[in-house]
Amino acid sequence: MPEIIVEQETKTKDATDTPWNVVVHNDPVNLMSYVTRVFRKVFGYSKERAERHMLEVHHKGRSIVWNGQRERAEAYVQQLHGYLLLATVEKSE
Amino acid sequence: MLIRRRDDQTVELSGIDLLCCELLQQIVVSGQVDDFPAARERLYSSPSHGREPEFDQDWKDYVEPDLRDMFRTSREVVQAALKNFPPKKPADSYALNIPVKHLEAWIHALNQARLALSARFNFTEHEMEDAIPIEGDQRALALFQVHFYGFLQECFLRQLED
Repeated sequence: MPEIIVEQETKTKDATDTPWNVVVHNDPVNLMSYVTRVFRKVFGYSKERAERHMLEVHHKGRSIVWNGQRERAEAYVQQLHGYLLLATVEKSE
Repeated sequence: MLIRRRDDQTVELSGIDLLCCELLQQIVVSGQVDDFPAARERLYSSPSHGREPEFDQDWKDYVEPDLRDMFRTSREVVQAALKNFPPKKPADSYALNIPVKHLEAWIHALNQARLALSARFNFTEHEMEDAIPIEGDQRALALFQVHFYGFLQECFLRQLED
C-alpha cells in the first residue's frame, strides 16, 4: 500500500509541472548583436551564454532559451515578441 | 554620415545628406504594417507556431494590443525627433541630436522598419547577405533601406554598450 500512494503522488506532480520550452527561431533580419542584447535583458544571461544561444539560433535555426512552467514561459515569449524575436512556447519532450 | 557620442546624454548624427534625411523620415512609415499582411504577420507572429489555435486566439485578443501600443510608442519617439527635420534652411548636410535615453526606442523602431520591409519584399537570407543590387527599382531601394537601418541599429547598440 505505501508504494501505491507514492506512485499516485508522482503522477499528480508530473501532470501539473510539465516543463515548457521557450524557443527562439532564426530570422535573417534581426542583428546578432541585437538578439544577444535581448537575451541578456530578458533572461539576465551573461554575455557568453546569450551569445551561445544567439549562435545556436543562427546556425541551427532555433534555440531553447528557457525551460520551466507554462505561465512563465508565456510571459517570456511575450517579452521576446515585444523585442520582435520569433519566439514560441513548446511542450518539453 | 558620422555618429558619435556628443556627451553623456546625447548621440549626434552629423553630415546627414538629403538621401539620408529621406531614409530617416521613412523609418516610421516603413514600420507601419496594417496595409501589408506579410509584414503584419511577421511583427505579430504566432506564439505556438499555429499548434495551439485557442492559445493563438487569446494571444491576438489580449497580448497583441499591448504589443501594438509598445511598437507605436517607439515609432512616436522617432517621429517626434524628426518632426522638424531636416530644418527648412537649406544646407549641404544636417545634424540630428538623439538623447541616449531614446536610443532603445530608436533601435526598436528601426527593427520594426527592417522586419516589415523584409517581409513586404520577401527578401531571402541569401539576398540579405549579398551585396545590394545596383538596379534602381523599388526592391533594391528597400534592401538598401534595410541595410542602412541595420547600420544605424548597430551604431546605437554600441552606444548603449559603451
